[in-house]
Amino acid sequence: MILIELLQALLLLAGVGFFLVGTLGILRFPDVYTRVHALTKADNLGLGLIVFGLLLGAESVPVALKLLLVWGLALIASATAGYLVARAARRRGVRPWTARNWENS
Amino acid sequence: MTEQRHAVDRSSRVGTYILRLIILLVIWWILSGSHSDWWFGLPLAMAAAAASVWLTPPARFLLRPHQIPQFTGFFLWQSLLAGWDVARRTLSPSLPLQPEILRLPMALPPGAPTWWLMLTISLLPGTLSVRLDPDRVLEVHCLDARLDVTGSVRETEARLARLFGVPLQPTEAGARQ
Repeated sequence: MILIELLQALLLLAGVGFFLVGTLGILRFPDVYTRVHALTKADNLGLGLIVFGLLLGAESVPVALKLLLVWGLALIASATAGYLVARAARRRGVRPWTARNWENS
Repeated sequence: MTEQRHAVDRSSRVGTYILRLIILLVIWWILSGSHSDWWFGLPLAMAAAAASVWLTPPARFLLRPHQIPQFTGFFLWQSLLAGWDVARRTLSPSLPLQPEILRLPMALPPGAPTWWLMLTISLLPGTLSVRLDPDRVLEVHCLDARLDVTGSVRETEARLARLFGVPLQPTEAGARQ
């Protein structure tokens, strides 16, 4: 039982770590497109690890399924939102940051 | 001819209604837990299924259930790689990025398979769907042009084609912008 709790703690901490990294990505990455990358992917993995950690301690099948449902819906929402943000930026003519621009500026 | 097509259409509407009703009832059971109040959940699920068939016509593409585990495994593993990849880039002091927008012609049929591809590749390592042109060319923003982005999009496409049981239309190799 202690092993499971330890594994749970590790998964939850790793999940929180990826959320933190996703947020750090918003601050560090240079333009809207790369920031969407950081948010969608790091948060997807962060939430997945947290859900997996909580699954290990789920007391009933509906609770476990509820956790999976939360993850699935959040995945669809974040992928869709990321696409909509990127498309809106593209339509407004936001030019993607490139390594060359960086050297020039 | 038209009558027959109409009959097929109606039966697929009924089938879609029943399928969606079952899915909604399962979701209700999940949400309400052990004390499911079916007197409330059942009418609600029936109304929601009716509204969904009215608003979103029956899908032309259905998932092949025996392919779901394989695709799920692929997706989970790639999610792990994607999160790790973006974390590594974020935390690296030199911020190793070489973004580029690629234009890839779509080989999957329009509708659900294409939507799934666009959502899936946004969660794969280093790729983000940006825009789908009317001529069915997808703009993909990639974090690092040194990665084999075209290859991983094509692999995802092939896996989705298997998942939906649809053929891939041949396309010319992805052209760079």
